Amino acid sequence: MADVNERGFANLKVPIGPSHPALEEPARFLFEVEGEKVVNVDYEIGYNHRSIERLCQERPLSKVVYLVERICGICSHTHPLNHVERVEDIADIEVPERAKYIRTIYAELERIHSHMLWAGIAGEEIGYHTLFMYTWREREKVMDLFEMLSGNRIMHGCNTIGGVKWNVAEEQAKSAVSVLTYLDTAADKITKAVLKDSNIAERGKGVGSLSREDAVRLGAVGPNARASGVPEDTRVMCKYAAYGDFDLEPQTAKDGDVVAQALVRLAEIKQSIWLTKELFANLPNGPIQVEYDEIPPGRSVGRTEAPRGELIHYTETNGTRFFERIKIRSPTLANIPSYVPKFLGCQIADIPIIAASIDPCFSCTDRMTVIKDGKRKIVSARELKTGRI
Amino acid sequence: MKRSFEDAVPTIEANRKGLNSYYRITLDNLDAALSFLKEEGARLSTITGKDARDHLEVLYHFAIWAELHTIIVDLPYDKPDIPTITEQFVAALLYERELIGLLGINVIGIPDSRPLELPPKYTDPTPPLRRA
Repeated sequence: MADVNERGFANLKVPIGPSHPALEEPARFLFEVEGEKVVNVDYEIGYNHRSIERLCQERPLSKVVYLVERICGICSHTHPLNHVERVEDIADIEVPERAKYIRTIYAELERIHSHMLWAGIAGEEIGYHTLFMYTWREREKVMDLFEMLSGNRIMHGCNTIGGVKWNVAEEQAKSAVSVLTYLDTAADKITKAVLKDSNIAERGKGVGSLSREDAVRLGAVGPNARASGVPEDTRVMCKYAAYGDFDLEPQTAKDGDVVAQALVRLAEIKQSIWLTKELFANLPNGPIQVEYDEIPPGRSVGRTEAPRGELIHYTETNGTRFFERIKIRSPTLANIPSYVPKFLGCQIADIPIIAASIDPCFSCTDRMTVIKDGKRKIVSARELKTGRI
Repeated sequence: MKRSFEDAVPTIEANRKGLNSYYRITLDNLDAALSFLKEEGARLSTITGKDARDHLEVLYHFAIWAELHTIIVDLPYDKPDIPTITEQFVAALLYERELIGLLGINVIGIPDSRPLELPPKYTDPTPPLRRA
C-alpha cells in the first residue's frame, strides 16, 4: 500500500518524459500528485546535450557559423544571425543596409512559421486536430518561401560574417509578397478559429497561468513573458538588424494562460507578415556583403528575438583562428523555471498543453535519415564523418 | 542605468561599447554589485563561465531594457568557490547549475546543486568546458 500524506492522499509521483507521447521534447518532469491535482514538480534536462559550446572553441572561426546554425532546426536563422552580429561587433564590420534587411526578412519568416507550428501543436495537445492540419498547411507556404529564397527549407545558410550570402531578386520579392498576402488572410482565419471557439476558451482559460510578478522574478522571456504582460521584445528594445527602421509594438496579453499565449503568438504572426511585406517593399539597393580582414581580440554579448524569446550569445575572440569562448543561452532555458507556477495546482490532463504552451525547444534532430534507392537508412556519426553514406 | 556603476561599486576595470558595459570586480564586491543592479531594476539574462587558462571567470549578464551590463569575477583554479546569487536573483539557479556541471565551479549555498546538462553517472574528473 502506498504511503498516505497528512491530507489523506497517496504519495504518488508521475514521471513524464524524456520520451513520452504527451511530451515531444526530451525533458523529464516528475509530478507529485494528490488525486488529479499536481502539487509539486521537478524537471530534468540535458538528454540531448551536444557540447556545441565546446565544439565552437575547437572549430576554425569561419566554420563556427555553420555549427551555430545547426543548434536548432526552427531557429536556424536567429542563432547564426546573433553569432555573426557578435563577430561584426568585435571587428567593427559595417554590414550593408540591404544585407540587414534580408537578415530581418528571414528572421520574420522564421517567426511566422514557428508560431504557426506552435498553434498546430497546441491544437493537437487539446485534441483539436483540425487546427493542427490547418496551421501546418499554411506553414508549408512559408517553408516553400524559404526554399525559393535560399534553396533550403530549414538550413538557409543565409548569414555570413559581413553580410548575407543570398540576394533577393525582384521576381522573388514579388512572389513572396503575394504569398504573404495569402498568409495574412489565412492568419485571420486561424485567429478567428482559435479565439471564437468555445472549446478552446474552456480548455485554455485559466490553464497554466503565470502572473506578471512571477514572469519577472523567474526571468521568463519572449511570448511566454509577454503573455503575462511583460512588454519586453528584443526587436523593439535593441533595434538590431533592420528593426530600427520600423515602429514595432510588443504584443502583450494579461493572464499568462494558454489563451493568452495563443493571443500573443497569433498577433505576432500578423505583425510579422506586415513587417515582412514592409521589408520587401523598402529593400534598399546595394551590396549584400563586405569583406573583412582579421578578427581582433575582443568580446561582445548581444541579444536577438528568437520566435521563443530572447536569445543571448556571448562571444570572445583572442586574435587566433579559434574562439576563446562562445556561450549561448537559448530562450527555452530561461522559460523553464516558469513551468513550476504554471504546473502547480493544475489537473493531470492539462499537463501536455501547459508543457507545450511555452513552446519548448530542448533540442533538434541528432541523427539523419537518408532515402536511397527507395530504402530508408539511418546514418551513423562515423559514416557522416567519413562521407561514406 | 541612472547611476554610475563605478561610483557605487569598487571596480578594477570598466569597458563600454555600444549597448554593452563590462565591469571587472573582486569577489568581495559581488554583493554590493548585485544590490546596486537590483535597485536599478536589472534582470539577470544569463551567467557565462569561462576557463581563462590560468584562472576561471564568471560573467553575470544583466539586462536593463536595451543595455547589457556584464559583471566579471575572477576565480583561482585551486579555490573555484563563488556564493550563489539565487537569493537576489531567483532566475540564476539553472545558470549556476550549469557552472557546476560544465566548469566544476563550486557554487556555495545553491538550493539545488545537481549538474544541469550532464548525466548523473558522468565520471570524467575534468568538467567538459575546462581546458586541461
